[in-house]
Amino acid sequence: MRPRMNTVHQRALHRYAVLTACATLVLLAAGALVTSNDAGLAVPDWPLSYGSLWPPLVGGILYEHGHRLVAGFVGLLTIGLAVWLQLREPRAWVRRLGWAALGAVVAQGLLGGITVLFYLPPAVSIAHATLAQMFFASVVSLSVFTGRWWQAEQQQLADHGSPSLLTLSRLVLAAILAQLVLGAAYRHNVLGIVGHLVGAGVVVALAVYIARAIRNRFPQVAALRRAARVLLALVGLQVLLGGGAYWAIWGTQSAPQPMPAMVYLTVAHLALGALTLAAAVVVALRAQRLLRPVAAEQLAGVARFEQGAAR
Amino acid sequence: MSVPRLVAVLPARPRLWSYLELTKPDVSFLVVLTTLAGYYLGARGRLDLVGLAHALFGTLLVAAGTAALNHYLERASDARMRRTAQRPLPVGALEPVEALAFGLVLSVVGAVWLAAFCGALSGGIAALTCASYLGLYTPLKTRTTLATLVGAFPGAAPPLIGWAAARGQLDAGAWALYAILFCWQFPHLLAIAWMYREDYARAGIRMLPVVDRSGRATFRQVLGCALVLVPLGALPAWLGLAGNVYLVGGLAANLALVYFAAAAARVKSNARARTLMHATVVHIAVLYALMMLDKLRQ
Repeated sequence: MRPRMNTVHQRALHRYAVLTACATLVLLAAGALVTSNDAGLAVPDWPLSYGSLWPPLVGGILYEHGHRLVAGFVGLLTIGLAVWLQLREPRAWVRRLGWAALGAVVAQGLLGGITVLFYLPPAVSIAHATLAQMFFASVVSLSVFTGRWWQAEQQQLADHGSPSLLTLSRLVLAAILAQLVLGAAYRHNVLGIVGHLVGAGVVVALAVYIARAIRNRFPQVAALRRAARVLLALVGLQVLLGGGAYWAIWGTQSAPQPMPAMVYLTVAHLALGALTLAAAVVVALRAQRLLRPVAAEQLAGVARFEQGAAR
Repeated sequence: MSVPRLVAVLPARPRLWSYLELTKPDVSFLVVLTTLAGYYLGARGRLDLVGLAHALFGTLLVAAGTAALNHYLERASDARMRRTAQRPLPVGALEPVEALAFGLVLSVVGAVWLAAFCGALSGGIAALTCASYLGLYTPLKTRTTLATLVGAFPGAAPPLIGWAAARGQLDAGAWALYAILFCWQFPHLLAIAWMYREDYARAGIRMLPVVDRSGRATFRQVLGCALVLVPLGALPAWLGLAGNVYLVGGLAANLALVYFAAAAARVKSNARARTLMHATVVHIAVLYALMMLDKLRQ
């Protein structure tokens, strides 16, 4: 007998998924604190910290061990989420995504361990930072999929614009993820700031473009417009914070490190980057849920009709 | 006690084969393997192969004897279950008194062997395991569903026997192995009990799936124990008994067990329970193999 989910369960599962996403955001910030405080090697062993579950939380150990504790908590939350989905979720692909998220958080833990045991190899540190964001994106997706809006009947809309909103939303998502990788590469001294600045320009352009496209093509669809507005606002704020963080890094270069202004601004910049990614995920998923693809020949037909009407 | 005989039409089998069947070779083999793991992980310095052979032989005798005595005690209910109706006593291949004598001799010789060659502690644990299995678990099976819980205590003892034989004392590492095997038994035994619940019901054995027809409580326990195994499985690494290979591989094995437990809990079918049962066997073998591999690397 296969289980069916009642409304109470559905709501509780959704809230749990949101809680996991929020905890993951805290975990990302905790990880950023480790890098900003240069505490990556404050604890030389893994998975224990100085051979103990609870080492003295002094200096950099506070950040590194704190990061591990939050990671353990998120790991447990993700196990719970995967199991809950397996027990109650009727959609097989959502159940699979739950297990994939669990796999990602385990792989993330391993990467974290390798980072410590091999003395912060930049490639592994960047992979660790990138997988963290991808894991966050998967948990945000699960929050969307388990939500009432996603599971309610939605009127399907035809998108006649080109490029399609679906393509655009995926482009924005890819650009933000690439930008996060470039940011990680800059933070771990593999690349200079130029790539990250160019990435910022691309993300801003794409965010403005998609927000305008949504406003012009679907002005009446609140779910899309609201998500696009949030995305645009976050991108704007992120640009300001990025500038602030860069200023703090260069402005405090000759001061004893780490300076609090630099730490707070870089951590906030990273956390806001994750939120921007989450907003892009929501836009992409909402577009996928609402818009049905229009075949190329149909598009050509619409274009011919519009040209005829104009004449 | 009169035992129903189903056997008039069955061909006779060699008596030696029947005696071998009394020892439940598959279960005894698993007991010996977990004892081997306990001994190996508990050993300090160079492995004493002679000591190990004594420990395995003594444990094998006790396990085989306990199995034979279990056959003797459960011959009536065995005859009522399809799964066990072909055992030597229900089919009349051996007389009950022969099984009783065989089991007593093996158990006593095994416990004495362990005490003589591996120390009083390992011999004592083996004797206590045999006594509690037969004196508590076996009679409780027809009375309460808590029998599984009671049976899990002697069921997890083999690594303790091995550890005690190697080290002469039980420390945290031994108890970590014990705790893991203790929890592991619930998904394993309840998956079997779920598959054979009709059989158990016929024999009047009150396994949880017999009473819990919906399977909710059964699979709650299955899943709960699988989840508890995730942090518990990390204990050997935290105690320094194993390293990162075990930590990572063990975590993967424990999460895989959670997956199979959740998949079985979702559908509650016999097929899923069977898959879970197979998964538990692979899981425990992987855990022990990884721990031993890690120690080998050290």
